[in-house]
Amino acid sequence: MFSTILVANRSEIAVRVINGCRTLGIRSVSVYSDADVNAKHRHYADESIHIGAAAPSESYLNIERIIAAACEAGAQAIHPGYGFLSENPAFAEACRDAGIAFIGPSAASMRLMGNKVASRKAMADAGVPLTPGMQSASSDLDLYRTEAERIGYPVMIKAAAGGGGKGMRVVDEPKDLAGAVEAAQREALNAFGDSSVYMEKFIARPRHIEFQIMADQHGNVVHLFERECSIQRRHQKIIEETPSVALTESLRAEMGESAVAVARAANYVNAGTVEFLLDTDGSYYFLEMNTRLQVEHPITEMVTGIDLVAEQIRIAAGEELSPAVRQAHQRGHAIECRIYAEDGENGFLPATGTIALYSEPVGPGIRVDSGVEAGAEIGIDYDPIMAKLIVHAGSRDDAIGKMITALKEFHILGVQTSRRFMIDCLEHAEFRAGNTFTSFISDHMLTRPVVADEMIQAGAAAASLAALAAAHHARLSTGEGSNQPLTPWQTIGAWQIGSSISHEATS
Amino acid sequence: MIRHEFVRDGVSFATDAVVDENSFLVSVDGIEFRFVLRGTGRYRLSVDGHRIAIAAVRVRDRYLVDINGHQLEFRDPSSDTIAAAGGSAGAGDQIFAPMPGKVVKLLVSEGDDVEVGQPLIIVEAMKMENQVRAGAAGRVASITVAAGDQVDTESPLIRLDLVPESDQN
Repeated sequence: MFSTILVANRSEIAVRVINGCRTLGIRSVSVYSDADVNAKHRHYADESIHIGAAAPSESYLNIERIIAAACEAGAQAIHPGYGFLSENPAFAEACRDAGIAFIGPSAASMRLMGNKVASRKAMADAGVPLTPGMQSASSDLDLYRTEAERIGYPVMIKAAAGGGGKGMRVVDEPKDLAGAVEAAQREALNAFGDSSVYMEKFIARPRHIEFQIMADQHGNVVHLFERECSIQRRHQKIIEETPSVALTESLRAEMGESAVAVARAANYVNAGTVEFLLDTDGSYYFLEMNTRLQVEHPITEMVTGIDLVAEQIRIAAGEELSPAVRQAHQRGHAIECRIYAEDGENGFLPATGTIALYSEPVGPGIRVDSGVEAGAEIGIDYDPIMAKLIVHAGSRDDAIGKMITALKEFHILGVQTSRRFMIDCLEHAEFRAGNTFTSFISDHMLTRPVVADEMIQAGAAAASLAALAAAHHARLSTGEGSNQPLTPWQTIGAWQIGSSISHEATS
Repeated sequence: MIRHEFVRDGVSFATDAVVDENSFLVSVDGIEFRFVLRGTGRYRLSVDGHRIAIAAVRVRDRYLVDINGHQLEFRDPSSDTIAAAGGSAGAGDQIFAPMPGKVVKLLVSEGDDVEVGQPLIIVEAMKMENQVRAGAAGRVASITVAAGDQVDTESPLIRLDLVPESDQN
């Protein structure tokens, strides 16, 4: 087993991986850029190494500097997290060349799955069901027009090197096709450095169902059941749950077998995720395989009781899949809500600012994977995810109720989030009924419940407490107030506005 | 009793707070709210027989309140920054950048007539393209940015000559 692991990532996923290292008694090393000098992940690890400027190309995407940091720290392995270099085959090769284990699949598997067009062909050959569409990327608009007529509108334009909703466009009518192809090419070029796009049929009322795969270096491949990630805005997941209400035992077994077949066809090793679209008639289509740990992996951990990061490390060290993984079963229901720095009341525009107050919810079955603390500055340098809130309960209804309460008790001020938007989703009758399709937000959330007058009045009342607290602390700092009547601030203790002690860590 | 005044979205609130040893009683428009302090900026509020956790802090002239997942912002009515808050993205004749980012593409030219909701400009932030739309019908009077420009929140992008109300029907 490794004694030191370098975590080549930042924020909540770096913290999560460090926790996995601690479970196995492994020393962890984090890396940080100029923008992350005071970031949680920097100080959370046993050692941290500065790797460059804020721009990702100078730090978290800089293969040379990360390998140098790993050598400097004496790390025998690197965990890439998600995003950044996690699906970059050149990085996996650079690790191997430096004699460092890459905690993930081989460069060849990544290369195959990283190209959506090549992977579709390989999966078709392996007998995995695919959505009808173009066989290869193209910039020939006439080809798009004829293919769109053949498979029928609506169609979807997708980046060949894509993922995460970038470079994706849905087209309902022929007149919008050319503009959508151009926009998708621009986004793809900016996000991935490759403007190649292709087109496939757009399934009108799909669910997004994905299967967690675990594979060791000895040829053992298993799946750890599904996650349903249908609640998406702009093709970006915000609420995920497991199990999915849409899967019967037989459909679960069938899709799980397909997912294992995908992994085998890619000679896959380590943790991966096979994504499918599930149509209302029970037919399903392979979308893509993500060759890394997924953002939403905690819900699988909650229902199976397996620490996926610890398992990833064991696999990379050459161990066989543990008995817990081979005999896994689903227990209860888990939901995750992603807490992004974004304005859920204003079209999910990216939000920036300084976190003035941060307080996490606690309780049985409540987990927060967080990369921020009070005082953290949220800029535009990196992905806007701040934290993930995960709950586990015996039933779906109980999990929904627990999540709504936890979202209300997760307090973040100074940076906008979508917490209220997600509460409105979870409270919606169609969500409660399990009618979770990828169109849920555009179908049901364009009009939102109005904020009750009494809630706003209560807010104004609370604002007066903030004013009183500020005045109280101003008096304290000038030495006045010793002859003032006793107030709750004196009765309860010396809490200081602006300090970071309100952070209740639960990792 | 201590009186404060706040403004949110153009609506004014007057609050009267009574502080005793253990709790706060605040009345707003004749409705009373009782709070207990639970930590830095954190309180429990009694409503409808339930005690809910809320948070409230002052950041310079802004009062930020977290209540049932809502993030409400109040301002001191005497603050001078209120006058500047009139130009939310796309609401009036001046269109501002809604967030920091890079101008990717201009979708209109000076002199173009635009409709309510029509996309005017694409701004990229965090690798996502965001469309800035017209908040009212009008004619593009001037464009102050070009493709490739970096913009900040509230940077002016485009100015519209609005169509008078009577012409819209």
